Formats: sequence, structure tokens, C-alpha cells
Amino acid sequence: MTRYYILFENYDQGLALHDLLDQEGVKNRIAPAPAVTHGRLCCGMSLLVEAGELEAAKACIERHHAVYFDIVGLEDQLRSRRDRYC
Amino acid sequence: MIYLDNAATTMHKPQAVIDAVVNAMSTFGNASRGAHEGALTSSRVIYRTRAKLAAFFGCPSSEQVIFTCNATEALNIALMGLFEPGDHVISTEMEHNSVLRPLYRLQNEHGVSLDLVPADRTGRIDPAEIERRIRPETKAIVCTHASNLTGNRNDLTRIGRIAEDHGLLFVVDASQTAGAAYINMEEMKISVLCFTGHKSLMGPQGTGGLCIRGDIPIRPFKVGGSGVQSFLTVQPPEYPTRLEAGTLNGHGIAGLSAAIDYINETGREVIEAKETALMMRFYRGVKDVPGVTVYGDFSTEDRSPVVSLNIWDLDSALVADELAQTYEIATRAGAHCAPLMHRALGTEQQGAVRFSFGWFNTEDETDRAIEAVREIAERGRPE
Repeated sequence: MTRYYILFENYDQGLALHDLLDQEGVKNRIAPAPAVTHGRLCCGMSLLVEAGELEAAKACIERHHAVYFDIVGLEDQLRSRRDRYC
Repeated sequence: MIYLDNAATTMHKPQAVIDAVVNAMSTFGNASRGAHEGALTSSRVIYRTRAKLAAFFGCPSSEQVIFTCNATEALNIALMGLFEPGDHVISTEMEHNSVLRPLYRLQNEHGVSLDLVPADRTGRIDPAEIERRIRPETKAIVCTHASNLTGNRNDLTRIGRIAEDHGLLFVVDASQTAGAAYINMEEMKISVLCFTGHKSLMGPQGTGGLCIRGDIPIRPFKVGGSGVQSFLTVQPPEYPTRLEAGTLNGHGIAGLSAAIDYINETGREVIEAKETALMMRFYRGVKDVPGVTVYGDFSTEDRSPVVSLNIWDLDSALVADELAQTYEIATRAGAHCAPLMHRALGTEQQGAVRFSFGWFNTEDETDRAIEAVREIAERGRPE
């Protein structure tokens, strides 16, 4: 499954968009910025959105002229824990 | 103890400030470092405190609110990061050493020329004298909002208009006013506002910052860990990261956040009115006491809550010591890091005793301080 990460140059940009997405009911979660796409942004924060929420997130960004660096899609790298709900 | 040294720091803090710091010390991870709950708890508080400060000071962009340890650090960041060799800067004799020493350093080590507008015998400056000193190479006007010695305020609206008319940067030291006095960067055309958190804002020591209005690229004063963009070999250029290398004082900023809430809930105007009333009560109580000389201009109540005085020719340190030892009144004697103001007032040798009032002072405390001054003046009367 592809997960989408909205990337930022610092936490303030990320937290600002996080607030906007929350206000508009767009599901998102703060996550560490993945290192594999834009290495220079690693260590920072990102906003993780599921594929079904991506267009809503983009629309929110456009409406508010929110600052972000990039949006990248990444395949899950971990197998789900099959025994978790057993 | 009757605490009348609020211009140095407000010793009594709202309980909500203390609670916020204590809570932060058991819940905060490192802000902007990671995305776990601890890191995000501190990141969120810091993020929201920027927004509160931006609203409080009329700064258009909350990410251009930069946290520092104090106003001195904020002023150093601003002054050392704005000017180039050949630039000319205008400041005033009303300044604290936190402005004067960075400016002298720029003058002595970095080829920046400096003009200081003189203060009159009441310690005031004439804004027209600022305008008269503007040259083609002038880059900025740097001035305090209020003198920490006399309490007299500069007319920031008028000086800001001068700066804007001539295309100059306007850097303001709001150490003595931020929290109690009205400040609006947009209205007053302030380019960079430097403030401390532990005085009139009633936050913890170790907090302060600068607010930057508009597109003003300040060179980083320090570089290092930022929690983001680790492979860059330079400090990330975006505000606030640009000027915030190293771990922030998250615990202190949590307290500052609670302090701003307290001021907003109480009403800044209410706080200012009470402090002004106590100051004027004290001034009226001591100004005609034989042997007492009060410094500064009291023809206006648009001033910060400070009354500096001397009694006969008594050494100001001895008077402050007597106030502390016999009357349990805390004041501040000496030169107050304001050497040019003392020169202007003619108090270089004697210094002065500064009484400064805060939100938690009372009329009874003020009256006891008046009585103490009267008694010392009587006991110190020359034979």
C-alpha cells in the first residue's frame, strides 16, 4: 500500500499545515520525515496521509497557500503483524 | 520582602506560569526532534507560543518569531546579523548596554559607523534629532522603547514613520515594555522587535526572542543542530530554524505561553493601568521630600513604571542596602547598565536607586516604600 508523506523544511511549516488539515477534517498524522526521498529533509517531520485523503489534502494546501516542500508516495516497507489481532 | 525591582525581573509570577513549567518538565521531549508524542508535545507548545507572540506584538508572520534566552541575545542576533561594513546606524543615549555594546562592537570590529542621539537632562531624546542624522549610507534606527533608568518611553510611531519615510530598518529593544505597553509592529513600522520574557511578560528567566516583520534576511548568529535538513552544510535558511540552532528552552517557553494567556485574560491595559497608578502614587509621595531628587520626565503618564531617585548625596548603593536591610524593600542601585543615561542625568558618580513596580505590587507596599524614603531622607539630612 502506498502512503503519502507531505514534507517540510521545518516543524513550523508542518505544524501549520497539520492544524489546517485537522480543522478541515482531513485525516493526517505527524510522522518522521522519510529519508529515502529527499535526504536533506531527513530528521524533520512530515504529515502522513492515506491515498484516499490525498486530494483533500492537496486542495486544503492550495486553498490556504500552505507552505510545504514536496509530497512523496512510499510503499510500506514493513509486513503487517499477522498475529496482532489473533 | 517588598519587591520593587520589577524592571530587573518580575520575581512574582502567575501560578499558571509556574504550573506550566513544572508540567513541561515531566512531559516535554525535544521540540523539532522526532515525531513521537514527547517531541510533538513540546513542538506544539512552541509553535502555538510563536502564534500568541505574533498576535500580541502585531507581527504578521508567526514563523518569524524567534526564541532566544533573553533580550540581549535577541539584540545580538539582530544587530550582528543585519549590518555590513560601511553601514551607518543611528541609536540613542537612552540605550542599555545590551544595545550599546553590540553597536560599539560593530563600530570597532566591523566597520559600521554609529551616531548616538543625545538625551537631555530629563533623559529624553528628540526624534527630530534622529532624522537630522540620517545619511545616504544609514541602514537602521536602533532604539529602546523605554529607558530602564527613567521609565520614559520613546514615541515608536513617530520614529517608525521616520524609518519608513527614509527606507530604513527600525530595530526596537522592548525589554522594559513588552507585556505591559501597547506594541504593534505593523502600526509602528518596527522591522525587528527584541523582547525578554521574564520582565513585564511575567514568564520565566531564560526566555525572550525577536520578531521580524517582512522579508529581512538576518545572518545566523550561531549555527548547529536544527532537527531538520541534517545533511545541509549550512544552517537551513528558513525562519525560524535559520536563527534557532540548538535545543530551545522548551520548559521556559511553556511558562511564557502561560504568561501570555494570563496577560490576555487579565487585560494588558488593566495591568498597565495598575502599574502606572502605583508608579505615580510613589512619585507623588516622594518628589517633594527634602533631599530627594527624582530623575526623568513625569509630565506624561505614558511611561514605564520606574522611579529612579537619589537622596541628598548619599551613595545609591548604601541607600538600596538600607532599604533592603532595615525596610525589607528590594530596589536596584548603581548604573543599571545604562552608562550614557547616567552621564546625561549627571549621576555617573552617585548612581541612582531605582524603584520599579509590577502587577503584583500593592498600594500598601507603595506607601511603605514612600515612608522608607522619607525616613532615610530625614536620617541622611546633612548636618
